[in-house]
Amino acid sequence: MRVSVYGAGLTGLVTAWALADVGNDVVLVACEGEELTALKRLQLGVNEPGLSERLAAQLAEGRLRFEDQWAAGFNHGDVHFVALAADRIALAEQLLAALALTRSESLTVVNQSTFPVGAARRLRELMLLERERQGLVDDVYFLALPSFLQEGAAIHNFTRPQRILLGSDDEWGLRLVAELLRPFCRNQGQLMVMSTKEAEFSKYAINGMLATKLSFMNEMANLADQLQVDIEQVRKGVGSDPRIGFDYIYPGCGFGGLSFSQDVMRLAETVETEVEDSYLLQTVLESNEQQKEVLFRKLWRHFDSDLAGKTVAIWGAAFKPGTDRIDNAPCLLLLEALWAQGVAVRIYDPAALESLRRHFGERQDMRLCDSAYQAAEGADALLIVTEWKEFWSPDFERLAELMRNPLIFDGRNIYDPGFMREIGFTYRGVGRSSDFDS
Amino acid sequence: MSLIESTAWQALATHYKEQIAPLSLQQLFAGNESRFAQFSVEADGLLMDYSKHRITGETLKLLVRLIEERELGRWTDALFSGAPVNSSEGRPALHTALRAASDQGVEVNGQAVYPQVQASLGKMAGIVAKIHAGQWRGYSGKPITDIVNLGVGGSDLGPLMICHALEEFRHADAAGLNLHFVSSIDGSQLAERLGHLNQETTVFILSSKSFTTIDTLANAEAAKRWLAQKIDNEAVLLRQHFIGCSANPEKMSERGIPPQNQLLFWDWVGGRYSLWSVIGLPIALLLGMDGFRQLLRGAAAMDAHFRTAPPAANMPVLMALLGVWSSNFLGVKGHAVLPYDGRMRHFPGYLTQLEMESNGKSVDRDGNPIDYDTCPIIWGDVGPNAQHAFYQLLHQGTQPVSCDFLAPVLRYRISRSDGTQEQLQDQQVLTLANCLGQSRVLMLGDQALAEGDPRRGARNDQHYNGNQGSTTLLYPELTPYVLGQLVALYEHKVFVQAVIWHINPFDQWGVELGKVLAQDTFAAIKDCQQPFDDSSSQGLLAYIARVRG
Repeated sequence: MRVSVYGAGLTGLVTAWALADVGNDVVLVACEGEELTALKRLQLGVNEPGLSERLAAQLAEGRLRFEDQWAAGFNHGDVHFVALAADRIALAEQLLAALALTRSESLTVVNQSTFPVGAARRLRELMLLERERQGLVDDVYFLALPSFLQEGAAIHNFTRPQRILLGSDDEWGLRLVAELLRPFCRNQGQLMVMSTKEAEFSKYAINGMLATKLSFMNEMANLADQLQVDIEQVRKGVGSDPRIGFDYIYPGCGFGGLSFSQDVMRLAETVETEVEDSYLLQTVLESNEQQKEVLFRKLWRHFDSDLAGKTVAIWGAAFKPGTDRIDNAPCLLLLEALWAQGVAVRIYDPAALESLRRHFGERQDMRLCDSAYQAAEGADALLIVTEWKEFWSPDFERLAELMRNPLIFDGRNIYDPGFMREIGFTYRGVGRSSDFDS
Repeated sequence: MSLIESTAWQALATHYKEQIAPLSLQQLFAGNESRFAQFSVEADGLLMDYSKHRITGETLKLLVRLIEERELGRWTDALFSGAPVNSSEGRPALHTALRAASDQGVEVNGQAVYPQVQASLGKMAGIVAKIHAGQWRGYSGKPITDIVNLGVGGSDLGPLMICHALEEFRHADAAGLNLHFVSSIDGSQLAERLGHLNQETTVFILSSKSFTTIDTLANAEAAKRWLAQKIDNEAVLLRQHFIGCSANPEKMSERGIPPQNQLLFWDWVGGRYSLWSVIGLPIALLLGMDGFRQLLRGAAAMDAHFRTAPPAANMPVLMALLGVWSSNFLGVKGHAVLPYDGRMRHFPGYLTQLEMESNGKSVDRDGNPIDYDTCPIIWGDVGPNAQHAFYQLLHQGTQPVSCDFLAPVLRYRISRSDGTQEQLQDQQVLTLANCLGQSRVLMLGDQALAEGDPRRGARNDQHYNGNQGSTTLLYPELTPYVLGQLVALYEHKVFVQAVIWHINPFDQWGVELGKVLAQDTFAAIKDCQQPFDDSSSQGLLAYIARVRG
């Protein structure tokens, strides 16, 4: 089948590759500001093991092409996959309106982007309205295919999914897309079909559940701090219960990313204006916003509410390792809080420094550093915000020499408090500390 | 020469006896179709209708002659230029300088006032910005969500009144900020409040001009102990949870308020005239600095009007003259302030202090006892509610009264998501109708009914005499600017009356002695002593001692 994929994020890239890999003729349209030339050189915005090689193979086979003109995609596909970032619904509207007019025959669109509940129906209506204005009558089949790809395992997630959740409001579109997905769901019951709204709401509920798990664990960690209990031991105990499991129970300094932003999680943002928001989820998201300041609060209390003139090193700005994105990232609130108290910040991130520069501009009190060690120079404290691999086993001796105080606030609990105490660091994690009696 | 022996006063007395006493308001209106045109002023959006007072053109002429004789112009210049118009305390009363839009060159003791005012506002703006940004942190590092204003009198009534009135102008950055006002010395407001507050996220504003007010300091001590349950470090407690607003920086420092948390005003600002200064911090926190500056602009506009408009078109002057006319010639002992606007609930209480503490005096500027009435008893409430309370006395009581009716014409212009806009707009019309209806009944009594209406004086207990004077103030909408105008209007009314009565409106010696006696009595109660020689005090102390055990 001829397939067009719009968006060169992780979902778009993996979808394009996987569909090409099973024999389809795929065009991937970069349309979120991704550079076509960089893309062609396989400089991807994501760091997914094995993906570059696989894409290269399909490009060489000729079953996959990269383009940056919408029209290239419009004119190519029998099915159109939209895989944009969660905050790009306006772009999706423009894109689909243009598609509706460019291809006047019946169209099949599959939305993989995490848009608000009801988006599929709304976008379809928008396309039909555009067509009506031009006197076009053919239908648009609009499906929702929520993405469940996890970074690092995205290829496996797509090609060997535990389940595929497909939202469809009509027979014809469903038949076409089910056929397209057939190679990936060869076992009984893998393909779960429901309405687009149900599929979108399922995705919403899954994200909500994950956010709730994280926030719950964060709250437990804050209590553990007060009780002087090591939350890591508790986490292992809790995760060993199969009803709960080990996923999404790592406490930390808050979660970020677009999928968990207030905008996406608010049902009131949907077309259904009468819908009440989930009280629990609102609370979860609000408590997450507070959690993003947890390192600030620990630092604040450590220095008796007086941070003026201090220098603080920060490791990590991206909302998670492996990306240069800082959307909704904990470091944004943390930086504002530090600056408001007159703190100078030295910050290092392997990928996201440019994003920070774009977000905040040049500032006297924000020094973007070339290495983790450079950031630590002369710092009164080190805050770890993103758990990039290179932070897990630093040269602590060197670190202690570079810093003004051997003081670490770890928002990702990546060190061992007992060991840190032995080597002379004051170490405070989230729900654990070198001060606790173990 | 005493005031009442003066030519203008004597002329007014004669005029009253011969021309006005025989005439009712109903007759005055019947005899002059253009009373409204003659006796109303419209300026800068405000409409003041004072035609429903028992006056004629001649009355007004004589009243204006009175202020000329009392040299109002000279006094006004003295007020604005920083002369020591507060004679008993030898200092100026420069609340007008707090809202001046530009440097008028006013100095006190050789120091320019304007730069000090701007510096203080600037420091306040910094604190407001920090709290609004969520970057003023409590001891645990959380942003502040609750502000408790500890203050009494001028450090309470002004900010309380304005914050209540202008809630709908709340700044977007203050959306999550709760403002509380605690004044009473008995701790009842504080004790109730603290139960709902969290030490981590609460800041106390300690507002006291002298920083020695026992009421406020006692509440501050209770607040401090409440905070100390959670905060070991007293420096942190004071630095993160207390802001001081005072004219006495030394006392603020003595109490441990760090310099960066000290907001200053000056002894040349009277407490009841201080909402325009840093005492207005709660207002600025609610409205933002832009909103606060609009309030100041409204007051400054009224200052300009007061200084430039001719007496017969000058709202504060006219208000003052009508007050003097009512009190001193018509025998009015009570003056009611009646806003037809629930948001203005605290406005009458605010004026109670402004007028009665300023002009409730019986000694003139030279220290001599006076032989004429000064400030009447001022009271009031939200008009429509008061209709179900004390209006009975206004309509059918035994004494003459005067009233100020205040109302916005428009409300609820912004569409509401709860589907009530239309109904509420209708209720606003109903409110206006009540306002106008009441002043008409006060004016005309039964005569307001059509000729031949059976309710017209049919029975004595249903009879309305009317002939009670009132002023009606209308304005398009209540805004920070308009409220600034209104407050300044009353401030200047009070000043003009003080000039006529030749009293000092800027001291308040009458509130001092009670404080002194309370100190002795405090010891007497604590130690079960009987230091007083009057049997009433003895009896009361004995009862208290018995109950306390």
